[in-house]
Amino acid sequence: MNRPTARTLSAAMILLSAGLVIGGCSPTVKVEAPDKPITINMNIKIDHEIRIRVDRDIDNAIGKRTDIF
Amino acid sequence: MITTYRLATLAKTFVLFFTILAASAASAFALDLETARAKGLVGEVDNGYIAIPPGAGTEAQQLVETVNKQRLAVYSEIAAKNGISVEVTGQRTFEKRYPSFPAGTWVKIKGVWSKK
Repeated sequence: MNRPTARTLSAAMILLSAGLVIGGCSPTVKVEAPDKPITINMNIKIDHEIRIRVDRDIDNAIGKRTDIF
Repeated sequence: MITTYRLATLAKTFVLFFTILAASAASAFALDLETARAKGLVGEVDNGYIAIPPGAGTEAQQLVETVNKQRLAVYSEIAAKNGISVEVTGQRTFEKRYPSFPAGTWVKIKGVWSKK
């Protein structure tokens, strides 16, 4: 009764080999935290708005001061 | 009657003559920017100012100083209004104006003079 039968043996073998296969395929890709801090530039939108305003002011100045531009 | 007429004409001629003389003398001194640029006496620098390109004489020295002083005033005003630096304003002005420069205009970009 407690003697391992051929079926339980083969089941154990399958499990063991499956374990080996899975173990053999263990991923080698490692995820590491970057050593540099991640910075998100929140000034992009503000920069863009300033740029538009500056460009408009420059255009106005060029149009008005044809003697120096 | 005739004498009066002749005197008047003579006076008018003199006035006209001196006006032309004064105007030509003034234009000879007050070289305008467009003419100076077309003649290659001044060039545009990527900082937003003008300078005398290589090989050109110093005729436009006064013009360079006057124009740059006035440009600085304009850039300062725009910079202050928008909270950016005067330098960036000058550079941006050059960038924006570059396409409108006629071919052959002297330009100094990153310290190197070339003709557009």
